[in-house]
Amino acid sequence: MTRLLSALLAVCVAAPAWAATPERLGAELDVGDDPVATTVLPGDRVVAALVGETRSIAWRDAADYTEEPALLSSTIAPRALAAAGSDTEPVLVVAGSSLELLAFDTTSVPAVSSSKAVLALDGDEEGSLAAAVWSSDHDTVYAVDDVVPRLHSFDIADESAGTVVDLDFTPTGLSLLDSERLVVIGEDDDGPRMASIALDGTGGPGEVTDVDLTGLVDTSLEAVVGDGAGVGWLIATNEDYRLLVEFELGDTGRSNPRGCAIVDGVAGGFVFSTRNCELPASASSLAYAAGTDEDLEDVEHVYVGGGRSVSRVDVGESSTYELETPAITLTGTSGDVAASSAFDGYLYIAEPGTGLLAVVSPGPWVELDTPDTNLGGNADTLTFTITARLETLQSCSFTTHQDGDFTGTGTVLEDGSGVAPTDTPTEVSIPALDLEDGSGRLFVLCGDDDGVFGRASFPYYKGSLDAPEITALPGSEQVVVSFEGIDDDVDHYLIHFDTWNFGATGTAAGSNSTSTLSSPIEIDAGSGTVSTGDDDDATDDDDSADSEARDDSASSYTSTITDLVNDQVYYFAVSAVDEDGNEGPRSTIVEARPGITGGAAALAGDTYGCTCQNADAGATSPVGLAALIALLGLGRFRRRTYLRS
Amino acid sequence: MKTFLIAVALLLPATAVAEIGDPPPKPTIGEHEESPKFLSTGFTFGGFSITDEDIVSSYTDAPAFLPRLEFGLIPWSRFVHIEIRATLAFGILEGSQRVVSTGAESADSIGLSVFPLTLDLLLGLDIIDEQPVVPYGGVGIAWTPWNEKERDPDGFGPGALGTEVIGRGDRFGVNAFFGGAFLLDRFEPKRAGRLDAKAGVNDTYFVIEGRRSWVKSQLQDGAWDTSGLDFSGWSFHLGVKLHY
Repeated sequence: MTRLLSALLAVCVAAPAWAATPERLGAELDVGDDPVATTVLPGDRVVAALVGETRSIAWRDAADYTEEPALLSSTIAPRALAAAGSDTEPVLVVAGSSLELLAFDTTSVPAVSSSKAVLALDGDEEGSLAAAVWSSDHDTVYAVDDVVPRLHSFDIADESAGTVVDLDFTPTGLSLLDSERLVVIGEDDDGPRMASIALDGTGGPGEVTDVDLTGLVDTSLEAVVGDGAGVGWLIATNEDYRLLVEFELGDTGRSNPRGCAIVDGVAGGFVFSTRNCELPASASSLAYAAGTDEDLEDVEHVYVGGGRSVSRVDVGESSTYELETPAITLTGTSGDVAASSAFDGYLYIAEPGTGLLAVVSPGPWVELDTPDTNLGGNADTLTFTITARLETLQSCSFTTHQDGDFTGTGTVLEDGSGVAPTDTPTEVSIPALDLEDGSGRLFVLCGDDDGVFGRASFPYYKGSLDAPEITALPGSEQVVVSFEGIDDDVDHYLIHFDTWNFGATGTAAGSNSTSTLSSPIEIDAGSGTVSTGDDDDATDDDDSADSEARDDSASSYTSTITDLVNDQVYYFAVSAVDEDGNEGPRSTIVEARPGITGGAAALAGDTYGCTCQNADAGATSPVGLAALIALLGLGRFRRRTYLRS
Repeated sequence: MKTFLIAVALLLPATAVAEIGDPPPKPTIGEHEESPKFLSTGFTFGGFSITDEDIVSSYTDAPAFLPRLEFGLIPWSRFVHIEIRATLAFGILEGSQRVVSTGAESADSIGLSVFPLTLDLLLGLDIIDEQPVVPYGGVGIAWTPWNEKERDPDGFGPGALGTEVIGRGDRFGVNAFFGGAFLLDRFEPKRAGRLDAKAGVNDTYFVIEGRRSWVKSQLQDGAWDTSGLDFSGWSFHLGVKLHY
């Protein structure tokens, strides 16, 4: 009876118990270009990466990994990413020639990004921020400048630049050790350098104290990460070895420092241990992940990226402090590593050179196959297939949630529960009667025997409207969107557009450069060809309801969206809205990139030079005419000569 | 259209030449003896398949329909037919403008007008009188002025082109051709004789011709430049040709 109650509780209780230790490579997600840095924002929904030579920002929503990555451009020559904000209002910090803040609205899936602020560097000289870290205690971002050696602080709440601290070495990385200190690593002409910087009660950086690197003088420091409780780890390398070094600075309450090398207080030097701490030769990045486990309380791991794998080091209280095997093997080379919160327990690894972002999950990796999620009415059935990947011969118990999120909130659907054996597709059928009308999203969570959950989600639509078919053709500073009307009782259509791929359910809030057109653009049903842009054409009806240009019998629609930015990719979708205001499913997302247009000559780089100069046509060319007249004259002369003879 | 009218205007004096002072025809086939051949004119239709990738990507309706006028001077036509020939063709390709940075199709239509001009040396095997088929071939130089204009996507032909020239240029090159001229006089010998007597038209041929052009050079600052558009390709023509 107790088991039965527990089982019922597991199904009904919204938030499942999490034991979050990333351990299983779930997927390697496309982020559009080569990622060089990655971070996870508070709330664990938004995973961002710096990609490509232009250092665009690609991000994906962890609530639905099947959504396409969104790309954002930045004007600050970004070099590093950091996370800030809160679970409900996450902020992406982009560091470069200045500091850019991008806010995310995570109330919908996928989330919606918007520019928040750009904070200039304080100082006379032009610098460049190489790394950044956020202190949630103080709501402050700290960033190091490797051009003008400085530590900058920025107040995120006030969106203002704060104190600047000069450094006497070139910083390459930093991390928060605890709420009172952060550490900065770098180098100068004499070798590696590390400094501890005290933080005052408001987070302002103050006194800089050199850390004695005795024992590490022949190394370079590759990366540093702290646990926020006074313990940090760094990668020290030289030609002979590559070590993971754990350190403490001062009294942090850890009585028995572990690791292959420790630093004994601020004044002490690093002393090597003989313990097994040598890393793979290519190790270069670090991430710290904390979590809980039924057997091992406060399990903590440091993940070391390098080569084609990510190694996990158990640094918890009862650990052996050794590299755990097997390592997580990737398709490409491991780059920057970022861990989500202890509650979520996911790990993300940038794979430079591949365009991939690896996801390591703490529990079952769940994939859904959703062949048709458009339901006509209550008589229909929503059918999907769940496939869970976990240990051989194991299975996980899944539940389907409506109106919730990826943590398991929302209403549990009775027919959406079951058991999914590993690697075995399991079909799930839910009567449409159980689903709410209109557009919605279902979250599927699958928990293993240890109570660790995997997750996935998909959008659905229940109603009479179909998804229109759409095309978008770019022009110069404009895009022409065309779609076919559907036969149902449509009141109007909505054209959604934005500069990111907003998917089937994401909020598209794009606008043109003059802010005269904003998404969604409403097109009345039966209005026919409508130009929504001001093209100065006398016949341009500009959506005027009483325009004579309207064709009430039209079944195809064309809308020209003007004043767009050339070379910016825009995404478009269209949906129908019935007379009751219910929005139907969106069309497929199409993209268009306005730009300077031209014909074949422009494509070929033809300079338009013309030997003929003013000739529009060969027939009017004086050269051509002269040749023809000469030929005819010669023939006439010869014929006359013959006739006379 | 302007090109066509000019070509017709040029054809008229050629026929007038034949009417002035025609001698009595000498019987050859049954009744007449052919008058000598000095001139030729022709009108053919065909298609032009351009190989340039940028043209092909912008103008998906290729190959272009290509009407052609030709005018020739015949210095010798005994056993071996020798002809110095000028041809003037005209074609319009219809397509969509492209976003230059990405090559993506845009919503704006465009038309490419080409005016291939050639000056050819034609050699044919015309061994016997009233030979039914005269195979021929030759080589020549080619000059192709072109321009690109905005186009009404719902229009057709030259009338759909706008007035604003987006780009223009020309290309020089060479070409080689081959074909066969099928003598139509053999089907109506009496009528052919009368045509010769009244208009000086010795022979009327139905011609089939194939041509390979290499036209991609442009004079820029006194030097030949092969960058940009390339109007090389195959063309095939069917039509009628008259010898005077």
